[in-house]
Amino acid sequence: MTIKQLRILPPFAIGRLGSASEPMDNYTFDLDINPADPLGYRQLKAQPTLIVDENSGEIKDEVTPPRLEFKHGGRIRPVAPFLEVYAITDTDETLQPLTTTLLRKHELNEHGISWRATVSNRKIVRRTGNHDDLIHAQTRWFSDHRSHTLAGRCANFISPEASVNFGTVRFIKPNQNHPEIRLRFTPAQGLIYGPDQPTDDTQAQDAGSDAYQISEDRAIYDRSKSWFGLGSPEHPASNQTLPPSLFAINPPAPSWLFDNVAISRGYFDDACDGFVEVQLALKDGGTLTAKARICAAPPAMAPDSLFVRTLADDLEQVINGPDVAPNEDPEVTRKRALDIIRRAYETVRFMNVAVMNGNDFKGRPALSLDSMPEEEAADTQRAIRPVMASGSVDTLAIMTLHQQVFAALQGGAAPWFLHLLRQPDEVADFTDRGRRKMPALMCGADNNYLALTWRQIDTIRKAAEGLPAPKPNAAAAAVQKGLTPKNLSAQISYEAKGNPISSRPVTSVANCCPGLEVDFRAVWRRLFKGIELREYDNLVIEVAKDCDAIVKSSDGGDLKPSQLAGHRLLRVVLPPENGGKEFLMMTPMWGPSSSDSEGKIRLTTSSNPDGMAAVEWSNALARILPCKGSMVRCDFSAEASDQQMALVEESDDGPKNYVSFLCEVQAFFEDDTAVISAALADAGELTQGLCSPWQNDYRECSCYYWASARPDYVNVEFTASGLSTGDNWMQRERSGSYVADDYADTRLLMYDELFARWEQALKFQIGGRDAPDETGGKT
Amino acid sequence: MTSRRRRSIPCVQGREPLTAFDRDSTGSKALVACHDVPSLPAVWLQASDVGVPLPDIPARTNPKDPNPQIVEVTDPVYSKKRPDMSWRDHLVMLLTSGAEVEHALMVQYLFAAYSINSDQPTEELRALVEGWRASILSVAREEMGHLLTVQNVLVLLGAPISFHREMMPWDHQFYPFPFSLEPLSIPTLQCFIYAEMPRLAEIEHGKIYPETPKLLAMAPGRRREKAAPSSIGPRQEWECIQEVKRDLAKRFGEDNVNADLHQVGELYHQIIDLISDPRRIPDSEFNEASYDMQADWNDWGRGYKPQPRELTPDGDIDEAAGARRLEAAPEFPSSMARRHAHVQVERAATRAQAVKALRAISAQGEAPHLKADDTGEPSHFERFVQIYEEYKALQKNDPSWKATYDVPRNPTTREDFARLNPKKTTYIPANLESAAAAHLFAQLFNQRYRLLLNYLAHSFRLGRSQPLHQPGRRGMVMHRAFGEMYHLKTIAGLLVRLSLHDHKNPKAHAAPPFELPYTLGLPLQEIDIWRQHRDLIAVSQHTCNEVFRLAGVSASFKKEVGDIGGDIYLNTLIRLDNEAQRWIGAILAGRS
Repeated sequence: MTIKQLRILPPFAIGRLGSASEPMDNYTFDLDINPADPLGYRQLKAQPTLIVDENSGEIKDEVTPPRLEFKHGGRIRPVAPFLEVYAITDTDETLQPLTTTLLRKHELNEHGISWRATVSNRKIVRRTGNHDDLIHAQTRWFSDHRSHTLAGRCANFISPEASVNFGTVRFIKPNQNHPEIRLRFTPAQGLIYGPDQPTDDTQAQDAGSDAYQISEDRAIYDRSKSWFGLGSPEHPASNQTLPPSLFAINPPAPSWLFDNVAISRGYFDDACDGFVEVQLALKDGGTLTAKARICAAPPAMAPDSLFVRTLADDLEQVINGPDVAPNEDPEVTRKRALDIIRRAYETVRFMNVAVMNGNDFKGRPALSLDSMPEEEAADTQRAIRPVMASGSVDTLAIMTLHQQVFAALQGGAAPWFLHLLRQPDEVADFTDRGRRKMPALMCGADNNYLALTWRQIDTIRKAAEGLPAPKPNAAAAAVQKGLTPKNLSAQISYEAKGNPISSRPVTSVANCCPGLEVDFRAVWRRLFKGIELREYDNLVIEVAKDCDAIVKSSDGGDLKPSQLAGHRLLRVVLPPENGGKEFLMMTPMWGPSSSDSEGKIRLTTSSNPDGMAAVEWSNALARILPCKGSMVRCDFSAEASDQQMALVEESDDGPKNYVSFLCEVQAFFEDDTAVISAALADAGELTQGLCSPWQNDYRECSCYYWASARPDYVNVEFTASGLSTGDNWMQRERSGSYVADDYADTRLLMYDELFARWEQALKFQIGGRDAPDETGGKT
Repeated sequence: MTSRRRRSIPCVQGREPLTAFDRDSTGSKALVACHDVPSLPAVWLQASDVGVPLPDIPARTNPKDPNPQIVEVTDPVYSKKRPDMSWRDHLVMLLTSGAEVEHALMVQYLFAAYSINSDQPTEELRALVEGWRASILSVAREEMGHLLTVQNVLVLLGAPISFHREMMPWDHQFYPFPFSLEPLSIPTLQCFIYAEMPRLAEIEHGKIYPETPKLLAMAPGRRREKAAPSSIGPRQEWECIQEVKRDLAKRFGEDNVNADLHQVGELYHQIIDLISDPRRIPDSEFNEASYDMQADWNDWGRGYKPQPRELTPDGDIDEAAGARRLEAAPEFPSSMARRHAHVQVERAATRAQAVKALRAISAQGEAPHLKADDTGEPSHFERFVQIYEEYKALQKNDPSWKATYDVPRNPTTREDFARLNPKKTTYIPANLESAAAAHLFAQLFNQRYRLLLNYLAHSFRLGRSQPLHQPGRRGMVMHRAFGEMYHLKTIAGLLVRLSLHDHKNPKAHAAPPFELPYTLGLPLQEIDIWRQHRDLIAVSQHTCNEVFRLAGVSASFKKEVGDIGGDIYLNTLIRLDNEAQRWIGAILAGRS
């Protein structure tokens, strides 16, 4: 037997921030429906937890805790995932755990194993464009079993020694009971860093007297550099993220209540993303290596609920394509369709649907409250109006309706609501018809209304065409063929021993605007070799130095590839051997006609005269991924443009407005692995678009982004009126009377309070209710 | 299903009229009592004619014409008002009959759709019959819209709403065929086609269809393209009409078939004509303030309408825009099946709006087939014709092929009722040695049907006191109604997979009975309506629990229910009902 290759599983592990000294115990919940409580919250189950000896680095014990505790002493317990090494041998099709036993069979041992971790926080770089703002940490290759701190350093810190503690990595010492080769990543505490202290009193007033004060040991950014004060007239912000100004600001936030002034306070956090690598020295002097990705993210505050579209859904689409195979086992399709509906009501039950619908609230105009209709009104300059009929919206009623749909599908009814699912190219349809499609009331990665992945929609389509009658007593055909090198789905969803389910992509949101765990939009920017697109739309922001050699002209025009920065990617055309289909990267923006209830008009403004909106990459490029390694035709705007535009073909009215090039499609994953390619996103790039600090996001973004990850409506009960009542997750006093979010109501948690005491202020939700601080689910 | 024309029979003093059909399929003149006919008081029988037949309009067709045009007859025809009724009352009676006919048709269409067996020998056949089911369900959804629209007009007139199905003998002249639940078949489709097809009287050769027919008051400029053009051409449709007429005439008598008495469109024609007339229905009869009490498409439409059309910035139709985009649809091979329903729920505050609403729903299914593309969508008639032609083609290839489960006509959970009508109904036995599972699920179906009708009526009742645009119980009850529709769909799907354990026909399966309760009336007081809901939910839960109890007693029963996934569904239903009880409990407790 020969070890031919290595893999690290899971290929993408999420750490969750927290300052408690003891990491979170292992827990899980069934992804399948619980027959005893099919509509209930997912039952959290404590699992065998690996206890690591602090001194030796060995696993000294394996304990299943009697109860789950998400906090200790008011501090949140971090999720510190393990990453296991697997081997591909020449005698077995499946991946084998790399253990000391296997090593000895090859006359090797664990001393030939070494690790390295590379993580970055690029949030500042993303905003300033200044590479000196990169906060970067890389360990040396190590083989010992000590904890290695990921010390993030930055050229714009006050000194070379100053650093951000991004957490630790540790090579767990294998022993007799646990001979596997594994690494543990322990994320940071969720602390906030900032600029050094001002040298005079005037600077001390910048953020106001009530502002959160960065402690001296974390005041390490040189305030004379670009991040502090970004957004001021002296240092205007350019190349903004979407949404813009996702950072701690002066004057008091949010900016839209204060004349859109957003001046950076210079805060940043200890979140990061990057790679871990393992290296095995072979007897012949060669080495085998493998890598995986890690990131540090906020806690999963509603651990028993899943969002309707998760990172796992997007990755599933990357791996298996946007279309469900015609010969897929019907039970598999049915199960997946049921899961989508289940996650839909899991999401809805955390939304105050009446408020999110754009209804006036207790007489207060909806325009003053945070919701998608309010966002839409601001973006399109149309009068705000509720999405659904305003008299029919209530959280418990809408949740019940979803549950009834779920029950119908469980009973074998074919989905009848395919037409109600929003297609990915309908995200900018702001007619009543368009807005009422599902998922409703939520934002997608393109800042328009959320759509599911093509694959999720196609699952519903296949089920709607009628599946054979359910055979509940028959075992479903095996979906996974086991942990094999080619089974990327199994690798992505791999459950490493000791890892809570919140470390897996299934618990990460996908409609990233910007996201919580990662900004998945960032992964698509370099899909076309030599070209870099903006993460949230089709603007070319950079071209590679060797672009002219990599990208070929397709129509013999004068424009060179190296001149494409500032132009827009309008369309991608597949080669004939791949079907020759065309895919627009934009979609028209439609709104209702004010004079004709049966009509719709294109929504145009002076800055968007064609009335077009970019569509999010994950769906827009889904059918292009299979062309990896091939050249596809990319039609770019003939002129540079900071405005979105429609594609115009040549006609009697004028010439076409685009030029065509042939671009190579890069592979999404590293060769033969399930690791997102480093060519697509370097360390720090998957989190660079997120809020800085991330606590800002919990205040800034409402639940219409990720209801079951950032809840809105909690402790919900029925009332005599037939409607529901509950609390706003962000309200300080749990009165049972929901406080609507106008960003100024002092009954709600504000930014600086979150910065100062987020661990105490934010409450975990179990069963849709505030969990007591020290207890969670039971075994 | 029999399709018999019910002629109006003059009453003879002191004797019951021949209230049913003058001829049955054997050609003999027989008194055939329709089920649910109440006994009539003698005083009533002394009244004058209940109505008069429409005059026979001679066909002016040239049967050899290769390109016949199907056009609309626009002559007004009145059914005679009883002298002991006002015109308003007569109008309300017509509307109520209309509501009941819509309800009856909808239920019969649903039954036919639910009877379809998608477990077919090939994938192509499976997709085809699923397409038929989708198409018929679309029609049923649109009928629901018609039903709600008619209720709205009743509310406008200050009249009681009605979710009943049969109002014998008031409505008999308007029923296309006696109410009967039948699985999908060629004869069934012929009856559906007959009910929805254009008036037979006028099939003109070479006549150009008028642009503004009387029944279709479309606003100028509102022309739409057909979303899914029929694959059946005009010639084939005309031949289909002739064939249906011929076959039904053989079954029920030519005279019955040739008269236009029972086209549903005819009923609407009478209603529209009457409601348009200010001499007979003065303006004072319309209660404008009732507008907000009426059912609104925004609540009940569920997205079932065509895409908006593209307009220019000036608000004109954008002629340069391409065809309107079709919504995502399952990939059924039948072109009509890809066409989503267009549910029309129209409100009315004035006479003109009421007329417009009635014309709109009449045009959708019951009015003449339109060749001028003004409706922009296939009519019910077209959809049924397409299924009919496809069905015939398949049966021609394989006469033994069946599209449906072997389900009975008019299943019932009432043994006594089945004994009264043994030829027309099929009892689903309750004993454990027989079809106990089917009986319980059929019972559950009836219970949920009753809940649905209760919620529908309650939502209109709440319309009086609850503003439309504020969240309240009205909206919540409306959602409950939809939830019950989903349950009915599911339970029907389970029923048709349950055996009747008929030793004479082992393949016989059960089917949804759609039995009406003894009353659809709501209690006077609001609190009592909630108590009634609670009671109905409780008894439904009892039925579910009874299934589990018997599953614990009988292994074969347990297997039978488990094999169809009925246990999983009931488990979820019980939990949903538990939450519903909590909700109602909060309302009854006055908790705020």
